[in-house]
Amino acid sequence: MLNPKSGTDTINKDDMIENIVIVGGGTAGWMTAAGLSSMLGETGLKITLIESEAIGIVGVGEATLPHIKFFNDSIGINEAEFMAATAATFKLGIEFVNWGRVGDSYIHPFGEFGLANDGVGFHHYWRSMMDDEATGALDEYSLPIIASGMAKFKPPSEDMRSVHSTYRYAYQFDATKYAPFLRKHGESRGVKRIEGILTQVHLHPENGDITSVQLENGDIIRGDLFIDCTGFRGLLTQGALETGYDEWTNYLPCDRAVAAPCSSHGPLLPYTRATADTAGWRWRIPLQHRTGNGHVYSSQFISDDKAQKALVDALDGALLSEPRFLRFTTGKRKKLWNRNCISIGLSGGFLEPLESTSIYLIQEGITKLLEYFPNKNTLAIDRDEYNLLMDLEFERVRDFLILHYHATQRDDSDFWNYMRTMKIPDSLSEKMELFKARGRVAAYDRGLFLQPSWIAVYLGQRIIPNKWDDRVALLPKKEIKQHLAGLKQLMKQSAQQMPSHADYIAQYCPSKAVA
Amino acid sequence: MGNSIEAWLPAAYCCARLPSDDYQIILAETKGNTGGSDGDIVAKPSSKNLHHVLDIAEHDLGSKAHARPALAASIAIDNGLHIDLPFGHYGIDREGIEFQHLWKYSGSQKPLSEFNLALAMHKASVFLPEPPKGAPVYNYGYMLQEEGYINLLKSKARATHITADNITLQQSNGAIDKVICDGESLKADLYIDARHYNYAATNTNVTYTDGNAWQHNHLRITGGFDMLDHQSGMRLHRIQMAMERLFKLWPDREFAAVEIAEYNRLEASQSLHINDMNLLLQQQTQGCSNTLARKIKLFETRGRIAIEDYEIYSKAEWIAAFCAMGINAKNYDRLAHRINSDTLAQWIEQLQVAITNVIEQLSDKK
Ligand SMILES: Cc1cc2nc3c(=O)[nH]c(=O)nc-3n(C[C@H](O)[C@H](O)[C@H](O)COP(=O)(O)OP(=O)(O)OC[C@H]3O[C@@H](n4cnc5c(N)ncnc54)[C@H](O)[C@@H]3O)c2cc1C
Repeated sequence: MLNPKSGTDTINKDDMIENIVIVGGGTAGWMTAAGLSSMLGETGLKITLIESEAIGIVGVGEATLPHIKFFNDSIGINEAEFMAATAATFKLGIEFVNWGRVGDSYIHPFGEFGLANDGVGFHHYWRSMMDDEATGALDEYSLPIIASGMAKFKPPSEDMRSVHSTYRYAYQFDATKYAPFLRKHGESRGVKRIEGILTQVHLHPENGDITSVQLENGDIIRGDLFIDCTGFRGLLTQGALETGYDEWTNYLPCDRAVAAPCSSHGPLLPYTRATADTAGWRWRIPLQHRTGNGHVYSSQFISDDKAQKALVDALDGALLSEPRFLRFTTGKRKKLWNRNCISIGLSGGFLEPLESTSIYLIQEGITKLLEYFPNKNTLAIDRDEYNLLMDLEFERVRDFLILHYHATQRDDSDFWNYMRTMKIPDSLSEKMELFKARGRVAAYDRGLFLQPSWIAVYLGQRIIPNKWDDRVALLPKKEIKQHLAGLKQLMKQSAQQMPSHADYIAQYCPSKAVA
Repeated sequence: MGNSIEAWLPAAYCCARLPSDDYQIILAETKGNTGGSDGDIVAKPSSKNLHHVLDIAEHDLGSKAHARPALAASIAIDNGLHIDLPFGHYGIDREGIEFQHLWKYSGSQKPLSEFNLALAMHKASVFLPEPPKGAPVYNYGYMLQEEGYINLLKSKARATHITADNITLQQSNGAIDKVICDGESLKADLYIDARHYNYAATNTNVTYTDGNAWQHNHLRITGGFDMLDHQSGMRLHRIQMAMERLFKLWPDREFAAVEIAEYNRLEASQSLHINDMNLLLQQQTQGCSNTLARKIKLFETRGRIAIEDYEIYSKAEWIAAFCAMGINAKNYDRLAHRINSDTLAQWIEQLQVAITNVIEQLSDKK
């Protein structure tokens, strides 16, 4: 009996979602299965996951954001075990090379710049002294950036007074290993895995909801709620429900990628590198046993052959396997939750991997599904709220990505001329204007990227505020100068004291793949 | 310009945040009524941050503004009804599941309000500065005597101070050139117009449109729209928020339009939430804003509280308002089923007994 005291207050048994069917066993499918089984497995929810080894997974998606640690922790994953199993490294930020201009480089760190003073952001002080040679780059006032440059790593401190508490970290891992790792976790919590190829989706003749899916061998799997994790195919949401897709290709025109791993070279870096090229950009993701590389580009501006050549020419290690091509369309499903089907992962949309946001959006999809987990009779209300909140997430990430392309002085190719001069969403141009005026970052409670991220990209891409907070003038210049010099010194010394990233990994979570 | 808390609080705030060597603050004090309350105003728990900035110690609030700790804001609504918006949580969340879901699932016969320690203490007129260990958390605010509070703010505002019967504003191109106080001209870089604590009564020669509290070089500060704002603590909170926003977007003499737009955007969004709460409390939810309609629907179906960008009320305040208006959750979050129903029922009962014991012990000591 669910409620021994008041039958009227319980969820009616008939209304309860009892069977969830997840179709797809990539990162999205297994993250969803692991998340739902950890949080709802004990409530009697039956979770079935269908995947096909013959079809396989997309096999890219190796760089993440700090939020993933929270996801892993909340479902009881041991960090060292997970890192060893996925040959993971730590990530303190993303280096952007050649974005503002060819030859430029900056890091978007997972942490703060300097220290605010009486409510005036540090970057205002820095901006006021920017022309003084001794001031140096803003990067010199961020511990994760300095540690990145020295290839050092140490987990952040919980002591808020320590400079080591000013950053967070994410992981870089082997994309083909995370889903299998989570599979063990999910299966141990009761997720039933079915190997098979989905061939048909059956809809309710009256209300149009999905009632079941059918496999190649004829098996029919019924469910109350279906999660589409079939990747770009979107077999349920698009194939069966014809949900539609909002394309954002005019803002984010990159539509292809070519990926190729190479052997490790040089020190093990605790950051991802994104190098702007003539018609897109190249990623470099250092793992324990190899380096992941790829070239994201717009087929409107460069051919596949040239894109591949640009990638291979730039590799800093020996090519380990044949380059692999991928196609995508930037945008999102018109309704991430349509009828009784929720699209999580690439089936829901893709904004391109520049800021490693895809896995974060998967995580958000799962968290919000748990938050708005429906009954059969509340589905519409939960669905509307879910869609509203997820749309906002996608749109705010989209604006942040566009900023990288648009805030450029590059005019060396048709691609950059287009990006530099294209019309951008009002929501972004308003934010940019606000920053240009006096270094203010528009305040939002919701959305992934917070003030330090916006500051890093604005300044890194040469959007220099015309002015700074007037109250900076309240401190004598000499004092500001001293303060900046002291801070720089503190950051540098603190970074120097950290162990090397490679040593830390070798001692904490060595992967068998390295041996 | 002004003579109420709306004027003296910004004056004190500016004095606290801006060094006197570099900034001169002039308060042109108007005459007449200083407030909209019946002599007392509610300071929400967040006012502690404000008083920290103003360097006002709790004992000063007590001795000069007759501050009494408050664990809820009592609001009189129509038909002699009374609503208490608590400054503390309902019960205790478990395993990330909000208490109202656990309570609903447990089928407890006791009303939800009995699990709010702040509310229970408020009703019994007893007080502890901190909740006992293991009890539902709260944070206290104050009831302040308005006149004493204004005097306290005055003592913190080392502003040049003039008094005038008649203040008029001279404008060109939307900006204020000067203000004329009983015939005497005053020029400033930034004008804060707090003559009308009650927005509805605004009648100046500067036209303010909704959501445009800041225009050019003048900023309008309005604490209370109506009685509800005074009683819910929103009056003081609004002024505090306005000051915090102003200092986040501190201007220079050129008054960048984008910064003003950002201030007004935040102000408009805050006003929307306040209006939503006020409409709910006045039971005027027919044809209300989308945000309020959505909030009601979500709460009604499953006790969820939709939290917006810049949400200004706590979840507990929304729950209290919904319950008082007879909007009850029909169902609860499925996650509650993670907890064994017998264990849960027992725990809920123990919690209620613990709260009752706290109240009894404190009442005995009274
Ligand atoms: C070029 C590129 C780079 C990326 N880089 C990053 C990054 O750095 N960081 C990041 O966060 N994200 C990145 N992403 C996104 C990331 O790869 C995905 O978000 C993540 O891998 C999740 O993919 P998925 O599980 O949705 O899809 P997939 O991995 O494609 O999985 C789809 C699943 O559906 C199954 N399936 C499909 N059809 C059928 C069928 N008919 N029957 C049965 N099963 C079926 C497949 O077998 C598979 O299990 C990148 C993406 C691309 C394209």
